[in-house]
Amino acid sequence: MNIGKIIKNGILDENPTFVQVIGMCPTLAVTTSAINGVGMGLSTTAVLLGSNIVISLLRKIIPDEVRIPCFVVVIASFVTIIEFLLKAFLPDLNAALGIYIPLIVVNCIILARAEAFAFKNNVIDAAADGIGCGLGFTLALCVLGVVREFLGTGNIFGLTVLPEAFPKTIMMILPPGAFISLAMLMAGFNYLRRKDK
Amino acid sequence: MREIVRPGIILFIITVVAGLCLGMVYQVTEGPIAEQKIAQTNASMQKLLSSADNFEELEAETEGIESLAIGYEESGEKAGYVIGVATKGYGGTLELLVAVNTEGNVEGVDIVNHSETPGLGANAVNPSFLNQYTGTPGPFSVTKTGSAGDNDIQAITSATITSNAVTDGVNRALEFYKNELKGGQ
Repeated sequence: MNIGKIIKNGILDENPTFVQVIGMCPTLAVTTSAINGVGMGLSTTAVLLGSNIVISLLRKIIPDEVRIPCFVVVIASFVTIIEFLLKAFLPDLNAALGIYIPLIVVNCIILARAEAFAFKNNVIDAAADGIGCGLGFTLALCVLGVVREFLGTGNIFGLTVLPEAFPKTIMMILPPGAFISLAMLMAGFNYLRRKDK
Repeated sequence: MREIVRPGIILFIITVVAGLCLGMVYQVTEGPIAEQKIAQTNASMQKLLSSADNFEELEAETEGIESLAIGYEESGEKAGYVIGVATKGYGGTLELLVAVNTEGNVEGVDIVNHSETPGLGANAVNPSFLNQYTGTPGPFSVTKTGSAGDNDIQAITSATITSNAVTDGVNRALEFYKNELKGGQ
């Protein structure tokens, strides 16, 4: 498989959120605004890229029977090291993305890609898959964040779009709004994807 | 036997290596992280008490008061106090820093840590809400109609509990100032 195809596969055909429906906890929790969605998406992409590369490098060493505990150890250590380094040397970036990092440890997209792709493919393909799935996740969170922020507060990326007098649907930035908008977007995404074929 | 022992040993090696890496990174970053934390607290205190240049942290012995720092101007004169309090919000503990100047007026309020509902209670961190406290000596009370006096705090829409929690915290800090700090120290 060529790299471009793997990346496109992660963004469209196997979009983690809309097609594979994994990583729902962070998806529903952080998308109260577009900027939150982008922040979570990009941090996840960085971790996914790193963990896919490490797992792919270790795939000949790790025995099949104990691969899941090995994945968990590698991913958790990797995320914790990134967290330490960000806190110590890049305080500005940490202030922007720091709150998402502990959430990434428990994001099942990372474990799913390690198991389904990185463990069976070479390093370059695994890296491409990490980028593709990460960008697919970022795209989904960003769209979801824009929809919820717009309907719930009248803003997009913190900029006021709707006039103050326009009624706002506060429910959209509360948990029920997350489920409703995710369902609508998922239906729309899959309708378009099927029509394409 | 071999197929049981081998995976175990490999898993063991991987966890040991991961543990060693974590330990090493922790050793290297421990110092810088602590420095960053101090710099951050100082910066947030300075934002609240802009006339102060350096801060001396004291032990907070009174119940309900989490931290206490005295701010000094460049000339060495006392500029005011930064009092840390924790109150119960809607989603959990709310940690506030309240800056009081030597005249007893609130210089600034900052929410250091909270777990309020995004889009509702979390709006309490906005300057438009927190700036309502500045410039007067309190005590404050929350109002849901139009803000009337200097000591009335306009509640955040759909977040009365959060508004009350912040106001309680600020009032507690002011009371502590009046009882313990006002006039000498």
